[in-house]
Amino acid sequence: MKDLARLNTPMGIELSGDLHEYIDYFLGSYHGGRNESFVYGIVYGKFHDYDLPGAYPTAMAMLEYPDWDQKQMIGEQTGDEFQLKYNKEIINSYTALKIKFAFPSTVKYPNIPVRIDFTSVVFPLTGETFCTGHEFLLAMNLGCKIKILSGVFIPFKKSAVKKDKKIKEAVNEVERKYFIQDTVLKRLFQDKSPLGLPNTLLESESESVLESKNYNFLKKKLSDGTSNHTKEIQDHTQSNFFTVVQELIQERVKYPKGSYMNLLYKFLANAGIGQMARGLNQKAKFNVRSNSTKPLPSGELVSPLYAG
Amino acid sequence: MNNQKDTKMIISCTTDGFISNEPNMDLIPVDSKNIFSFLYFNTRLKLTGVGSLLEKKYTEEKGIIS
Repeated sequence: MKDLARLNTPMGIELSGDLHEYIDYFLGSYHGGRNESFVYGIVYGKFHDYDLPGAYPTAMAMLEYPDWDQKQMIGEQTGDEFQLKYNKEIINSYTALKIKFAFPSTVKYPNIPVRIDFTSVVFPLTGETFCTGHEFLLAMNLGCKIKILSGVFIPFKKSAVKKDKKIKEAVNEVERKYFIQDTVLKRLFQDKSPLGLPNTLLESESESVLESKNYNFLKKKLSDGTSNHTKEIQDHTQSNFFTVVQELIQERVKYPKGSYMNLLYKFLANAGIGQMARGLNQKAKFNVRSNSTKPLPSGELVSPLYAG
Repeated sequence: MNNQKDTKMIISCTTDGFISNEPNMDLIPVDSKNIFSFLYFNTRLKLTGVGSLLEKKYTEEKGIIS
């Protein structure tokens, strides 16, 4: 989408097919990155900074091309009705919704963004806003009551890979993941610092922790959850997004950490998702060439579907 | 952590990270009941061969101004 502004002209609407009918939902549900403080002033104590490693490239690698032929307009309905109908298909889709919502008062960190003026986005317990399908799913998981006013659902294009191959690969992935989770669990129990796990897990110190009922219970619980997700695994390795990100990562690791080339490939991988959102909010940026501040134009890679 | 009764504290967050008083969150096993962490974990595995969800970048010893 090279020129977003031109889409909102008589000629742009006519030439864009039916794109203009739903593009506003995706533009509305794009809120940019979250950056929020929950505590104000000086906070005493030890604090730890955690990151999702490679968050942006990894999220980009999970994208697939949209299946335009399967797109559906969403009418007024409750969040429960929508979830019942589409369920986990929402994960593998580009979905944008206009909603009214109310979280339970027990939720500390609500996840639905609401724009309150030209510069501010807040995450309140109740409100009315546009959101993505993934934000909708997370909110539902937190017990949020949602009324969908309208929206669009565009599923990912199905991979051309044969079904039996996909299942085999999925099972391999699950087994591999389970092995690693098992290793982490053992590490936690051996350290006797099972953070986030119930204290009852260490109730019997005389019992070998790795053979304890609690350990096996947790192991089974993880295994059950894993098998529940097996059918939702899509073979992202067939996606062009995945291929590009993987190539960039493979090139990056050829160079020592912290070296110029290593950082350059890291930058390229991170810049990909930025290019998909470039110019969507028409924010003015300082241009060193012209020594002036101008709205950043959109580019060849811009798409509100991918950016959101 | 998303419950008022939980004593763990999130000081601040961004899209790809957060600051907390909890020391070992990077050691928590991936919650296989959560489809988002599950998919992220699996995609990281496919991309890099390493399955990790959180990485501890640094620890602030005395306190921070938020």
